[in-house]
Amino acid sequence: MNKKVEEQLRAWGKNKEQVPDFFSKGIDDVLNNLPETATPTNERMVRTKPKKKRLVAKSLVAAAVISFGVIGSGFISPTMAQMLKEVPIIGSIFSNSEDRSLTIIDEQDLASTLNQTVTDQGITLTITETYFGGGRLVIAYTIESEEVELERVVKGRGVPLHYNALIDGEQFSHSTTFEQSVDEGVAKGIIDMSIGLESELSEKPVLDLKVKEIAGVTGSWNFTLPIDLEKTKAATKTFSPMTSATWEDAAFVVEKVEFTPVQSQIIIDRTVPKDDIFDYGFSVYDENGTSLGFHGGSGSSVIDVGNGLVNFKDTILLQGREEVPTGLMIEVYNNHGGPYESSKVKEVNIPLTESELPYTLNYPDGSKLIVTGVEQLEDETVVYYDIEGKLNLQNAFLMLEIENGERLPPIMLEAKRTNLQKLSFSQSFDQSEGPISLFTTIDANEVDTFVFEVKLD
Amino acid sequence: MNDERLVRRAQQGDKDAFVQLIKSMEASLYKVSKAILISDSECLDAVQETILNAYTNISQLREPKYFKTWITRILINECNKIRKVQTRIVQMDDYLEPTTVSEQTDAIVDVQSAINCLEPDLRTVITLYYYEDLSIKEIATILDIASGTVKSRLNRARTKLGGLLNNHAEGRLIHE
Repeated sequence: MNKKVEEQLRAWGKNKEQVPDFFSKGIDDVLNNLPETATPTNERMVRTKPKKKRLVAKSLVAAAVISFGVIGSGFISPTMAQMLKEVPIIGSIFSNSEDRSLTIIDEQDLASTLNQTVTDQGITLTITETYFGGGRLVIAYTIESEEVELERVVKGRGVPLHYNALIDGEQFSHSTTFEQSVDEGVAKGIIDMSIGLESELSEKPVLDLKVKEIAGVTGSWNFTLPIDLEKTKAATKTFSPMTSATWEDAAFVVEKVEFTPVQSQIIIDRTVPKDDIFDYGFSVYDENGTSLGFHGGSGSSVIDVGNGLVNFKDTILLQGREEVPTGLMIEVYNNHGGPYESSKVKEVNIPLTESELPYTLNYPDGSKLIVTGVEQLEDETVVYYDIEGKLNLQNAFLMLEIENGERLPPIMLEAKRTNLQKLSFSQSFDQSEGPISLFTTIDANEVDTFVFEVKLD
Repeated sequence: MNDERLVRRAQQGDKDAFVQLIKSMEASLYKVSKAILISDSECLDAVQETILNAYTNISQLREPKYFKTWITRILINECNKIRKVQTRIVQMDDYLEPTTVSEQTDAIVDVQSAINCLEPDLRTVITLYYYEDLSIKEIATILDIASGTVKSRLNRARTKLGGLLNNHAEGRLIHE
């Protein structure tokens, strides 16, 4: 081994550099907002429920209590499940979700009622409802047990149960967040999966859900759940535009666009040189160039199609929508696989005094962000700006710097479009007083873009 | 108070002990996330998720002495989640803040630049080994790979760095 390199690496390792201020503050923010007591949602050390004489939760109606009693022996009774389907056990769990996009499921009656129950290890798990659409599979459940202490889980901050899932007997890629509330000893929760499928679903798809751990207790709670697509279909607008575009050596085909009020998805088939597989990305806008938001995404298996090319499908997840656009603008990025260089990012502070506006920020690729106005209102501060060039500048990184040097992030992730005739937007921040400035960055790392349009008829 | 006692107290629900533990690891959390992710804002996202995850699940940790290994593993998982999406979709809020460069010697800046040129897998093992002072076995546990793979990645990284640093030195010499 090269001794000099070894020495240099050891010297580098000893050089404990300063953490950037904003990073340190970000850590402080999360530490300052920790709940008072940790909620060990899936701790191995099972918390045993105090053995006090407690009646079964009062919030469940009598029908449900009796049913749990009958079924509570580890098997599913289809007859009982059918009976339960017809009995409104409790209001929809979706109606109390912390996630606004999930309360829509209840408001628009998009969920399918199941009420399948399995009891094992003294824990009764009931799958009450499911929703499937727009790349999202959501399952509502209740857990009841006299044996373990059930805990509240704030959305995305804990794992109350562990499971394996198959759709039509096939594995599928998914990322999951949970939320769970506990009332009178009964947990009501939601398993929220963003999913990517390798192929279209069958007409009557089936979800095999095998729950293997609840509140730290290992057991077996297995369900075979029909995925009812009928209710979702009524609220879903699906398009198969098959619009293709080529850029340099890459080819893209927009195969499917699906809008639902809960979440939307776009599936793009991509054929690119093998070596450039990770170089491309997408942003999606409506026909007027307004961002459709971003909820994540996933990719299918990669197929080697020969001649140095590979093919796979990207699933891009977007916000749910009631109104369907008449077309899409898809901005494709290529970073050419180059190493990212922090040194090419420049910090900028724009004074927000009326006398100095409009203020134009010029980007290395010729794009512009023009700050046109600012309003310091009683309850918020609004910054107005126009963009030219890259559409993704509408959601540029902006922070408001107030008099004491503190930087405030925008209230919403997405900017608000203020004029459809121009690319004009606004971002709102917390209320402020006195002199303020806008903090942003200009990134000179090389990223090329290409835009193509998709008509949705 | 030593870290093991802090971990035990955090496991018993002492929030201040948990805060103290995390603050003492701030530089490590930053460096490890930076080895995998490029943007500082994404590093912060990953670290914030890691802190919440660790706070929620700290009672699962059986051996307090493995806290550092345990939280580093959580952090790497969080970074990989972001990286997986990032490789396929360039986010619109692709904002980036520059790393604060302190008063470093030229030589160290050169090494950092060279490390930045490595593939993320190699950058990660180099960071865990030299910056975090973790053993081959600990790195293997964190990354869920064989010790032999850690060694070969370290060797590949050293070889590449050797080439990059030599080239850099020659380039500078000519320039001077």
